Amino acid sequence: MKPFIGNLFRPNTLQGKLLVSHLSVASLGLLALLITFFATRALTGAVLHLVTDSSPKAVTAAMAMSGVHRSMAWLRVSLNDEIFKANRRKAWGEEIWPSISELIVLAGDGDRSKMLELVAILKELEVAQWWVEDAVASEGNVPAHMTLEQEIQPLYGNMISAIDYALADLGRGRNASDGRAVALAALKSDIQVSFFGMHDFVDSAEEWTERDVLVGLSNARAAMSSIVSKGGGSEFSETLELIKAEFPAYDHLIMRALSERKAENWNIARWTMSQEVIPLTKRVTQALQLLSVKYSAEMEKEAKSAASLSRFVTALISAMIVVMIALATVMSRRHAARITQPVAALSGAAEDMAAGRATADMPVTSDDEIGMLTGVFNRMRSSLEDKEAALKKRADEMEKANKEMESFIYSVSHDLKVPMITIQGMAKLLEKDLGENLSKDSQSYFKYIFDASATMSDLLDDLLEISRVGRMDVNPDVVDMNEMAKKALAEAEAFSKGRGFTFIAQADMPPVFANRRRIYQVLSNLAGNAVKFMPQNVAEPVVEIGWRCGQEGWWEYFVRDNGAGIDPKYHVKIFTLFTRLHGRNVEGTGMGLAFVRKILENMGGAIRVESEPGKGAAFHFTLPKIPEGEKG
Amino acid sequence: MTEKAVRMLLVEDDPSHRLLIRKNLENHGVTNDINEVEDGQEALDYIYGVGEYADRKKYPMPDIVILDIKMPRVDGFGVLERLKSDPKMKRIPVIMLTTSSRDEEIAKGYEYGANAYVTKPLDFADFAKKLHDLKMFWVLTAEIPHDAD
Repeated sequence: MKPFIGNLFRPNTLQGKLLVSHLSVASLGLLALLITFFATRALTGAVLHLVTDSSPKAVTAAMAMSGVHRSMAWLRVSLNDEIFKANRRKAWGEEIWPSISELIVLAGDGDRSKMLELVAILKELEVAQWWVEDAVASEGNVPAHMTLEQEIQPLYGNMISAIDYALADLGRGRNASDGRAVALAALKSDIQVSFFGMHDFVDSAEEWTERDVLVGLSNARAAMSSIVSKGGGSEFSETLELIKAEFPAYDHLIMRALSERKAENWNIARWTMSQEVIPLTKRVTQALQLLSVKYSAEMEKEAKSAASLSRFVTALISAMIVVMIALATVMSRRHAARITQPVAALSGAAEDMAAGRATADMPVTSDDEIGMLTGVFNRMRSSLEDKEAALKKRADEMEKANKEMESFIYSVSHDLKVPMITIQGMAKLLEKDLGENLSKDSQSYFKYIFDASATMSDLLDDLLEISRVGRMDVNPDVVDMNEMAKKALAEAEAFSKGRGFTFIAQADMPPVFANRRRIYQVLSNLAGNAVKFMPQNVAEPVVEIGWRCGQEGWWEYFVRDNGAGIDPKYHVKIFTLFTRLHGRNVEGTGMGLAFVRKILENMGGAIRVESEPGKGAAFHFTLPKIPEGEKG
Repeated sequence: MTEKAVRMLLVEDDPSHRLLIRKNLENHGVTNDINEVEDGQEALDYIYGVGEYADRKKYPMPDIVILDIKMPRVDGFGVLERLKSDPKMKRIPVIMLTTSSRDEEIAKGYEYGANAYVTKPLDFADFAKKLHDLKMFWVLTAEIPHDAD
């Protein structure tokens, strides 16, 4: 396992380096992930708390409050409705108490005392509300009314019946205009006024109704006392006794009822409401409000911190993404540079090498495959350099040997010429000296000596020339080919020995850029050959010098004859040194074509022959056009 | 025309060539004094009357120099250069001897100031023609040039 890991992270390979680099960027990403993870957890916790705690608390407090409001809504002091009562109780049972118990649970220890206080108040409120409800439902809700109904009413009934009875009695006796009847009637009327007035007053508590009551009562009192003072017969003595007994009570009760009605708590329900229920409700709502505000504030705070945490996390993640991208860019740049720079440098050096420019060793800047490549490249470069140097040395040596050879040939031919001259000269002198004493045979012997030495002299001259082609060819010039052709043909004519040769030089031949002497040598050699090798059986011998359109930078010239032609199998051989296809009856050292070829090749041109036996021969060769800048 | 013995100085290292030239000229009736020296240094000594050549009676100043090129010590060009750069001597006509008419040394010779050239072996007709061209036929005393064979 360990070797595997070690292999993976080898620092001297590109793979290892890249792996390390990638892992570092990835680890940054991992770090970002971790931060995100923990931040999200914190956020979740905050949100959870918000959702399960501070939010429910606020909501529950609000719910309790709304329950209290609702209970109050269903509490009517002027109505005794079962539905209302049921709803009010529902408000307590389904809204207030559940909310409060939940709130107690949620509030925890911190607010426990507050909660207990609240519960106490709520209990009081509930009881108070019940009292109110109860009061409304009970008859005794308005004590004055109860007094009126339950105590005053019977008395009134009794008194009025008694008076009516008495009045009826008096009526029967037919002792009309009894003052007693009038007094009784008056008393009844006063009592009635007070009684109905009392009813009115209990209902409305208006001042004038109270006045009615008081007036009625006071008149009734007066009537009462008058009746009592007059005495009576037996006819209404019962009535009188009754009235005497009950009126004071009635009076007292009326007064009581009046004061009951005028008292603050004339309506128990309302009294309880204002004295207890309302204040209690106020306290409850205040306490709940405080709690609600507190919990809302808590909730808001937690929401805010959650929001800010979320924003922080977003910013952090964004920053980390930017950093990661930047880091990745930087690292990949660095790596690319580490790879592409050396590679580009290497390819640049390789191109330099290919183009033949000088190169130097490339610096090894890393210890991985790139470094290896650089090292190998350097070795290759120096090996190539060595080979090139060796080749150059060989070439130089060969050049030197060549030059030495040429120089050798030059001096040899030069040195050979000297004794040659002696031989030729001495032979001539000898001939002259011996003069007429020479036999015919001796004369011919001399001829052989002369011919042979002349040949040798020519050979040596040719050899000298060949050895110097390329060595002394300086100063190429613009050469007028028309003039050259004429001169060459004129010289060739000298070999024609009077035969009727037709010499043609094409008109308007383009000039070439070369050494004049060499051009002349080429033309005169070829034309001379054409003349020399023309068979005797050709009736109208023709030698023509002409030209054809050439290629890039070269003219193609030709020297053509209508002689014997050359068998294709010799088309290459004739250009080699010392090859002769003809016997000794034709002049020539056999060097001519080789010489011509060397001259042309030295210029960078070429020569070839187009010929078939019996169809004459045309020697085609290329000569340089005048380059730009040399014209004129 | 006043006859004058024209003196030639032949500068040539090869004895056989010297012989050939002398014989050639004599055979064609050129009877001038022909003095011979073996190399360039000798030629200069002769012309400047140095050493044994101080005796002008024995070794008269030449009217014309026939000069070979390839010689030991001082070669033909050395002599040419010396003579032609000397205002006193540059008037002396110099005819170069070359082994081949194709010799590029001819051009060099002219550059150095040679007056003419002839090839070896001395073709007398050519020699005469060259002298004629130089208006120097007075070198050939009283004889119409024979054609060379």
